[in-house]
Amino acid sequence: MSNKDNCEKTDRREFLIRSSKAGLLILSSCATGYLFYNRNNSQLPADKNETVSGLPDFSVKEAGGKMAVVKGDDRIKTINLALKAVGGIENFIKKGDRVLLKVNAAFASPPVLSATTNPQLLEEVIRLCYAAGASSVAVTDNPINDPSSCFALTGIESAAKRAGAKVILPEESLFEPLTIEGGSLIKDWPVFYQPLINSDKLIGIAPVKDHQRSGASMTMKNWYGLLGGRRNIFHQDIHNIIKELAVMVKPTFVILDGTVSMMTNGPTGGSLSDLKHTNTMIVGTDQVAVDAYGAALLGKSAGELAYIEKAYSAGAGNMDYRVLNPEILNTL
Amino acid sequence: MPGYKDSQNETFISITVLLLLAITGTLIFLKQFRYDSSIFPSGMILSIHSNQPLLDEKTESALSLKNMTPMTPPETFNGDNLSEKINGKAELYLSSGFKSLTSQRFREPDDPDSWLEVFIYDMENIANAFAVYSVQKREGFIPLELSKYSYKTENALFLVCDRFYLEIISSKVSGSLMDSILSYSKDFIKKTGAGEKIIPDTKLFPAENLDENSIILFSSNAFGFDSLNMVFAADYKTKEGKIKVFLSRRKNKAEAAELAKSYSDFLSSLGGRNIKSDTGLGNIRIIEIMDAYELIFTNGPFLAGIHSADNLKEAKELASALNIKLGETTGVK
Repeated sequence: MSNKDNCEKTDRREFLIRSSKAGLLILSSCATGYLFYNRNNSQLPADKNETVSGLPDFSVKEAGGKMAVVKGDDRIKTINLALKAVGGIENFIKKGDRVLLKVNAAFASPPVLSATTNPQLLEEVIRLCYAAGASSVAVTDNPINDPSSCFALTGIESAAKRAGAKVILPEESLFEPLTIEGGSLIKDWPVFYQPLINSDKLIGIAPVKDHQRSGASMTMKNWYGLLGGRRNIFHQDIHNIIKELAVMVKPTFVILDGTVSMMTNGPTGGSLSDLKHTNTMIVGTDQVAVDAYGAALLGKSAGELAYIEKAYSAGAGNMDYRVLNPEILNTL
Repeated sequence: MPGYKDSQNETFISITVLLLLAITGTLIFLKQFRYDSSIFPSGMILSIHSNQPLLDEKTESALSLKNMTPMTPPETFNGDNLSEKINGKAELYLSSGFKSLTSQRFREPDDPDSWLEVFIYDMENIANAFAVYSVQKREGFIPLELSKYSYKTENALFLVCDRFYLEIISSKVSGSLMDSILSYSKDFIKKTGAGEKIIPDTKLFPAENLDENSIILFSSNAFGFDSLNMVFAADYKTKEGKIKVFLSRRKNKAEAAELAKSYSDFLSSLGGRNIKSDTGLGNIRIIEIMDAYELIFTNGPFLAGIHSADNLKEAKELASALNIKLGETTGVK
C-alpha cells in the first residue's frame, strides 16, 4: 500500500482521536515531570518543601564583644584561662541551657593528625558547659564521608560520651531547606537545622588548618559542616560560601584551637610533618576577628584570606581583632 | 484488511516505545538514590555511582595487608564524589587528571587504636601521579628506594608507582605500623608490576647544583598564571641561597613562543618591568617584579626560565645552562 492510499484512509474523526491520545500522553508526561520536580532545588524529600528563613541568633548580647588569646601547649589550661578572660563561661551558658557544640569531624582521621576537633579539648568544654548549668550538651557535624566512622576514629564520639554529651549524627530528617537574606548561594539549600533549633546556645570548636581551596580552615569554615546536599559545588566559590555561612550563623562564641596547626596539605593533612606546635587557644564572640587572628598562626595575614574580608564587609564581624581589645595571656 | 493490520503494528510499536521509556524512567529513578556502602560485604570493591570497579584486577589484589585486619571494605571514589572523601583537596587531584581513588583502613589485631589507611589514586599516567606527589611533598621527608619517587615521614609513606599515587597514613607513630606500611608498598609495587619508571622531562634540568628532591610538577596554574600548565620546576643551590628553574614541554615551537609571550604579558599586567640585559639568549624576556627577576625563554618546543630570582647574574647563568641542556634534546643552540 502506498503512502497516498494510507493518507486517504485517515479521516478527520480518526485524526482527532489520534491527536487527542497524543495530547493526553504529552499531558501525562508533563504531569509526571511536575510531580517529581523539586522546586526547592535541594536534595530533600518532597515533604520538606517549606524553606526556613535564617537560623536563630545564639549570641549573648549582654556579654558584648569579647576575645581572648592564650598561649600554651596544654589545652585544658589554655581553654580554661581563655574562657575566664572573656568573663567566664557562666557569662554565656545559663542554667538549663541546651548547648550544641559544632565540631570539625570532617574526616575519619586520628586525633594526632589535627585535621579534626581535638577530643581532649571537646571533653573539657562539655565539662565546663555542664558545670555552668547546661541541661544538655550535644555534639554534631555533618561529615560527608561515613559520619559514624568520622566520629569514632577522630575520638570525638568517645570524648563526648565520657563527658556526658550526646552525639547527633546527620540524618535526612534533621535537615531543612534554608535561605539566608541577601544570600546568593544559600538559597533553598538543605541545612542541618533540627539540632540548631532545639538548642539555646551554639559553640563552634575548630582546629587551625591550611586549606587547599580557601587558604585556611578555621571557625567560619567550620560551619560548612552544617550544609547538606551536594555541597562540594560550593568549592568553586569557596570564599563566598564561607562568608554566607558566617552571616548565617551567629554563635554564642567560637573556640579556635591553634595548639597544633596544620600548616601544609590541608584540609586533610596526613603527615605529622604537616603540623606545627603553634601553642595558641583563641576564644571569641566574633568569629571574623578570631579567624583574623588565627591567620597569623598559618603565617598569613587576614587580608590574604579573601573570605575574611568578605565576611567583614557583610557585617559578620570585625576584621581587625584589636577592636575587641583581646586579652593575650600565657600559660607557658 | 491492510488498514487494520497497520493500526495493529502501530499499537505494538507504540506500546514497545512506551515500555522502553518506562524502563528507562525506572532505571533513572532508582539511580538517584545514594549508594549505601554499609550494605555491602567486607572485601568487596565498591564503586560509588558506578557499577564497574574502577581498579583493575592487579590493583584490587594489592589491597590486602598481612598481619592486619580490614576495618572497612575498600571504597572507590570517582571525579564526581572525590570531595566526599578528601573535601577541599579534591580540586588538586581533579585538575591533575584524577581517575579514581580506592581507600581502605586496616588495624592491628591486638590494638584497635593502631590503624592505617591506604589511599590509591589512579592518576591515569605517571606525570599526573608525580604532579600530586610533588606538590604535596612534606618537609623533613626521608627518601626511600621503593620507587624513583617515594618517601616517608614519621607516620606516613607517599610514593608514585606508574600511574598510581599511593598514600599510606597511620594513626600514630609506631614501628610495627611503619613495617606494615613498607611491606604493603613493596607488595603493591610488585603486584601492580609497575617497574621502575621515571619521567623523562625531569632529566632535562642541568645536573650541577640541582636539588633533585625539589623537582615539582605543576599540572595547572603554575606561578599563579592560569595558562601555565604541566610545568616542571626545581631548586638550584647558589652562593646566595637557591634559585627556582622551570621548564615545560609544549606541542610545538609556536605554542611555546605564544605561552612565553602571554606569561610575560601577565607579569607586566601585574606591574612587572621589562629589563634589557645581555644573556646570549636571543628570545629571552627578563622582567623585574616585586624586587625579583623572572626570566622567560624558549628552546624549540620548550618554554623555560627562572622564577623569582633575587640575583640577576646567577639567574642568567642558570638560564644559559638550562638552554644548553635543552639544546641537547632539541638541537637548538
